Amino acid sequence: MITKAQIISDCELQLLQASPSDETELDQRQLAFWASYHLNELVTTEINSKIARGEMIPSVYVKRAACEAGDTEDTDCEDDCQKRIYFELDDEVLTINKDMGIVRVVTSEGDQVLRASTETLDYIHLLRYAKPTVNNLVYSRQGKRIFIEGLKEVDIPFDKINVYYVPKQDLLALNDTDEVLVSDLVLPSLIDQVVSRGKLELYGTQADGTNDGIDEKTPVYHQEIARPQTEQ
Amino acid sequence: MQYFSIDEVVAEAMTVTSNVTDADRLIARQWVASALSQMGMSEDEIVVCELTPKNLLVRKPDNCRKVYELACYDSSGNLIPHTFRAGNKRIYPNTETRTVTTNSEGTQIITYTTVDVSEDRFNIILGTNATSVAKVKLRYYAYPVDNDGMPQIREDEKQACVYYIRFCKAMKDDDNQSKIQLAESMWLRACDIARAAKKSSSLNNDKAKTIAKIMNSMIPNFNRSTF
Repeated sequence: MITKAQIISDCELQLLQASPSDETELDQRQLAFWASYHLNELVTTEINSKIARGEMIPSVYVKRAACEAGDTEDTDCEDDCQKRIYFELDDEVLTINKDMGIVRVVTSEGDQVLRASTETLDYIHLLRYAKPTVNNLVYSRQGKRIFIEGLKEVDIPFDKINVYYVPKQDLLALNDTDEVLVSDLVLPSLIDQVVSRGKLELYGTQADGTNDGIDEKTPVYHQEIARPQTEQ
Repeated sequence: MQYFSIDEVVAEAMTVTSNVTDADRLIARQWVASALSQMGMSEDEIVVCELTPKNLLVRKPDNCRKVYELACYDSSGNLIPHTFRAGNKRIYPNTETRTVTTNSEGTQIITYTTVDVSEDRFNIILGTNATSVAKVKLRYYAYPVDNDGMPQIREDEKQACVYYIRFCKAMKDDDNQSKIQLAESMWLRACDIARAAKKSSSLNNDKAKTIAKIMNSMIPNFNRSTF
């Protein structure tokens, strides 16, 4: 698995033509920031296309949060509103079609917890054999919180859940030696896109010389590099 | 007879159904229950239980599918005759009363008059002349259920349930008409097979012999001992 430092160093070397310097204008943190959002964009695209084709989510992206302990949601109202029971993940979950960012949720006993969207829960509750119960747990997700239906408040200390999910990756928060979850398919594209963005910053964009209103995205080298000054 | 859990049948159906979501898996449990209600009853689903009336109402068991027969008893265990009436309210006045007679040995003999019994979806309803009924023995067709109250599926119903889930899923997805019709015809065929299998499994060899004996007894000069 590739580390954060390897990705950043490779991009840096490509951008600076293998001559990195302490005085360079390019900050590694900026490279990490670009890598983060291109990585999440590319991973989302890859997984969405695989799901559309009926393929599995690449295992390289799946992370496991083990033995998450539950809690009850604090509600502002003083009435006897039903308190919802939730388990909170440490990471943000990647936004994938059909909420497939959560791959699998199982209880500590190994029973699967099935997913239901918040809007479908209303009619599922009316179905006698499908409604959430202790033996038929159902979850819905809001952000980092996984709300479990069918669990009672008294069961919280005894029930823990394991969550398999695709995290949203933030390279800024990683250490240099931390591994980045990226497949072999996405890695070359990721580095290409970060390098392209770096070139835009270092060398600027092409002027609209033809005055046709078309924003030329192709990065070009700075004039100084494209046509080095002759000796004065 | 081997029985399968509802989750096992749903899981098997998911293996032959495309584009399945978690929500489909949840709702499929309900689809299985709907399919079971369309596949008829079998005599090995008959269950007997004893119930206690409360305010002239006898709550039917949760797994009760259809009442087969019932018997009313007083607190001493004496049978009280009953008449089953449709609807849960009497429209004619009750003119019958309980009679108490004393026999030659000086013992009181209580003779109960026929009590009214009717039923609705959830209860067996005893008439107001049934105050002496202390318990009701009920023989009924039950949905086979597991310890959690979930229906269990007989081995000869399983394939039909799988096809019913495929049919419902095709309708839910609003698939093309030919696909829905194909799924429906597969389900109907499997349902027929399951119903026939259940009927034939109810008729064991002893029952068939008994029926044959009754029929043959109507033939004069027929030596049944050689049958």
